[in-house]
Amino acid sequence: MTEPKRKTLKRKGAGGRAVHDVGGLAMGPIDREEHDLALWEKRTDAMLRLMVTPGKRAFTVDGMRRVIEDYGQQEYDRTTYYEKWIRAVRNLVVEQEILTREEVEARMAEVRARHEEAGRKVSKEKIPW
Amino acid sequence: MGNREWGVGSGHSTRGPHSPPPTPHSRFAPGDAVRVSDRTVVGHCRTPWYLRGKTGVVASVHGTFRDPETLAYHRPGLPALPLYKVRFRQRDLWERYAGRPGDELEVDVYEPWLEPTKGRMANSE
Repeated sequence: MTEPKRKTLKRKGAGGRAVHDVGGLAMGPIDREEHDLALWEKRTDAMLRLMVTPGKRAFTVDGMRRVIEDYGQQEYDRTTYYEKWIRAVRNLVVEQEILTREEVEARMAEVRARHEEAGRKVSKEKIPW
Repeated sequence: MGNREWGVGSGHSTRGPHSPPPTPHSRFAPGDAVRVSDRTVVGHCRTPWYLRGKTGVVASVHGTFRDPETLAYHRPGLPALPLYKVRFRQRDLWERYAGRPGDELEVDVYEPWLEPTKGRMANSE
């Protein structure tokens, strides 16, 4: 089973917590099921590891955590684990001026078009920056 | 998360000869009672909300590590900070904790988040 889509959860008594910091809040049972990883998820994992390698050090794991923790609550809750990662990697690559936002978007459009041309189903959804 | 007896045989109140030497320049040593700072932060931090203001005991000193709070913003994370394993009683952390009374939780906490508390744990029996 792949990781299911999430919905926004109320953080009762959350006070001034950051969006990810939910320890102890009543948020229902924990999903302990192991999920199969899609190829893109494995690639995302590999990409992150390469980016933080000493010598490359495009950014740090701490930096990636910071970007993910800065997502709005709705965005944080509705995205899966590796969706959070890939969005953070994309944003950090731009933040660190390795690629520009325009370069990333142009490449995304190119990939999208290539898949559409091949008759594959392509999601219309855009990941917010 | 075990059910070890609180404080038995672990040299809590004294720095006994069997305790590992503290990391140079670390402010706390194994056995010291510490309170987690009850403050809010803007930005990245690794101290969970549920620990803020809670009192525990230093179990061990892991050594010094670069500061994740500044590493997260592309800075070098220096000076490196002592990182402690701090032991809390579950019933001190959660209202209406329904587990066994001796249940504990160990969490890694960086030094700037810890404050000394006088003597033994304020809420010990």
